[in-house]
Amino acid sequence: MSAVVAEHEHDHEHDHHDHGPAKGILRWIITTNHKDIGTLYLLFALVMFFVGGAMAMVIRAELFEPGMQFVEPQFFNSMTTMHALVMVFGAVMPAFVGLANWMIPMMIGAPDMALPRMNNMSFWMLVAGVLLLASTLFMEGGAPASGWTLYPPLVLQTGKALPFAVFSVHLLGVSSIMGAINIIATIFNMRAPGMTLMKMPLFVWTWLITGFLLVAIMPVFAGAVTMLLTDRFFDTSFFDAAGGGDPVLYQHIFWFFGHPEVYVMILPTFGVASTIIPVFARKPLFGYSSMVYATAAIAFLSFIVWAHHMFTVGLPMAGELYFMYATMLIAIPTGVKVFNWTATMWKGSMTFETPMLFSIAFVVLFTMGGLTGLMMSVAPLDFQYHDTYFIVAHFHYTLVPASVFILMAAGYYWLPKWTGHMYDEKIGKLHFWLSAVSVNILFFPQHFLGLAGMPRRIPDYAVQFADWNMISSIGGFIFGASQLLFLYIVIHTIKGGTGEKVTDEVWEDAAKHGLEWTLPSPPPYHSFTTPPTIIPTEHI
Amino acid sequence: MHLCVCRYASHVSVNSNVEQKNSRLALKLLLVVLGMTGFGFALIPLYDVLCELTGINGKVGTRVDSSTLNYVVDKERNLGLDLVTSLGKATPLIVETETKSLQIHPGQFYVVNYRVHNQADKALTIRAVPSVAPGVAAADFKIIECFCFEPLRLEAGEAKNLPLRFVVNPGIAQQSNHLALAITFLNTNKD
Ligand code: HEM
Ligand SMILES: [Cu+2]
Repeated sequence: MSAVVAEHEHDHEHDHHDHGPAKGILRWIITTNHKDIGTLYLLFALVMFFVGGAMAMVIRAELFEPGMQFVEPQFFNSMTTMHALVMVFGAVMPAFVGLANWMIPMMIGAPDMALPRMNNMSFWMLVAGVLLLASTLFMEGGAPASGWTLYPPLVLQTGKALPFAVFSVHLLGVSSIMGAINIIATIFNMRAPGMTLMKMPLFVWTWLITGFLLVAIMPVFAGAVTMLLTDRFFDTSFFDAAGGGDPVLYQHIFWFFGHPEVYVMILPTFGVASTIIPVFARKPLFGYSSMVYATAAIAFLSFIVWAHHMFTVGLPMAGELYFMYATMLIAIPTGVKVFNWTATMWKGSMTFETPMLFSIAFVVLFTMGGLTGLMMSVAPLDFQYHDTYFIVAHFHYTLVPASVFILMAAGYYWLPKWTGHMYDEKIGKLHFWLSAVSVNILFFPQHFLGLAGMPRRIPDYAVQFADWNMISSIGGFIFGASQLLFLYIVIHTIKGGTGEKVTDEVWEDAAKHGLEWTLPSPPPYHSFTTPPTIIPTEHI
Repeated sequence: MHLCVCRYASHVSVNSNVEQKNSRLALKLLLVVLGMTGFGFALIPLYDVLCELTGINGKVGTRVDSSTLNYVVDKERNLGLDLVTSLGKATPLIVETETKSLQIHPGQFYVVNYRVHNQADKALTIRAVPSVAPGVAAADFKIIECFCFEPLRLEAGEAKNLPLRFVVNPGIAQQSNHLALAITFLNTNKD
């Protein structure tokens, strides 16, 4: 980013009309402060990360050996379904909304989010949605067990839980739509003078585009699940062949939402990576504007490739070909991004603090997920991969060592700013190495399983798959346990960390890379109450 | 205790101009949300329209008027055709075809009979949904007469012989030399 602050914000402490936070627990319930709400989102996401993680541990424990070990098949399928829903809607998406809340106002020199009261509402609606979803676990007939895609007719066999799951999707949808509207309004209207669009940090850019994706797709998803509900209870036949409907139609509508949805989870990831890598490479981001255009291109393409999830449903030949080539196109802007991150590091004076380690691992491992994606985009080949563990391996590479690793990186990168305390670098590095090694033990063998034909979403399997499953489970247990280190670090840092005094910049020369580093650590409750003036400099 | 539920702390000067812009933008985005909600439902008819327009629909099951076809029988080609039937859930029928598979010439009209027997002690309304594999051949499989064009009513215990008349376009691709016609019988009574 090419901006420095000319007028330093002056201490606001002398202003006695200032409202600090309310006292006690009420502060968190009624808060409209972007930092408080950001904290709430991030902590909530962290809790959900462990809830969803516990479900993953159930899955890997059952798959440790062939045969039925610990849980009933129905419950196993509820676990795969709930694991995905909790991780997507409870952990990854809220974590990025939390980052947006904390960082976007500070990155663009705004005093707060544009619509603070709506901000509060969207957080609590998220909590309500997730609690409603979790409550289905205790209902007659169990939680939804159809897979997170909720395909009919299978999902219509859900017991008492179906309407509750649908309402929970409605709540989660409204919550993320409100979050998205807020972020878009903040970015369009609240920028400090001189913060032109093409000077915005990439995290802001990627969230702007993600915001538009969310506004466009969440209503479609909400509509699709509503149609499931009316098919079940009100005698409509949207997806019921007996009444003249078509179950494949659901898949079209779902993936019209579903494919952009996976980019909702990856675009902000790209943004954070583009923020962190330049700081630790001590170089400006390579190809800033190409990054912006690539993000926009990916977002646009994400709307016209949905049926690559449906190559095997019996698409007409023209459809197979079109969706194959359109999907392959996505690899181009994605490749631009990977190239730019690599070029940013090229001949940089790199240091390898924990946020940078996670970011480098992201670049490498995300690329692997992209490569398997490219393999699957070849329609005739996808007939082999579809609905096998190969798919599971693909999207976990794009989500765990990508989105989740970058969320970890963001945590390490900004925790000192948020709390004013330094985290323990030794434990951070330990967390990184344990995670980076175990995530590969966990997911790499799943490629082999998938190629050998092991179907996804099954609690038992042929003995030929035994060895790789055991290895994968061992990786899973190590990965799961290692995340407790992160929990420890977060708590430890909030409570004072290493005790080392952190500067405003925290990282060497960070202030060249982002406005947030010009504020004290931790920043005052209300920051940039007078907008900073951004004076353009040549690219740093 | 003084609770801060004001929009910003009082010293924060966000001028009302910005606030107005914010609510206006939020409103516009809300309209987009409403529009997309409508679009989600509109996709149901839109997909059909799109398939129709582009002609890529892989579905069979629309009535073809045989007088519009002037096919020449291709005695040189023999295609295999498997007749597959299946039942939806809670569909108490017995369905049999007079043959499980046959050899056909493209361009030649054929009739096969389906025998459907209602096992229930009440009347059923059945919907028969045909589909052709491989999907690329579906467009060349022309159904002239079929019980699958409209809902089918069977009295309690009733058995019926139902003819299906079809022809395969002689222009069918060379590599499509074995087809399957699958018909699923679905009970429309939801209880
Ligand atoms: C180069 C970019 C990518 C390409 C070409 C690609 C391609 C594909 C294809 C063709 C499938 C369907 C495979 C099948 O079910 O048979 C798929 C599935 C999936 N992809 Fe990707 N992908 C890419 C990147 C991503 C990214 C960035 C994410 C998420 C952050 C992602 C998440 C997923 C998920 C979650 C599924 C599985 C959905 C399900 O069936 O449950 N992909 N991908
Ligand atoms: Cu996709």
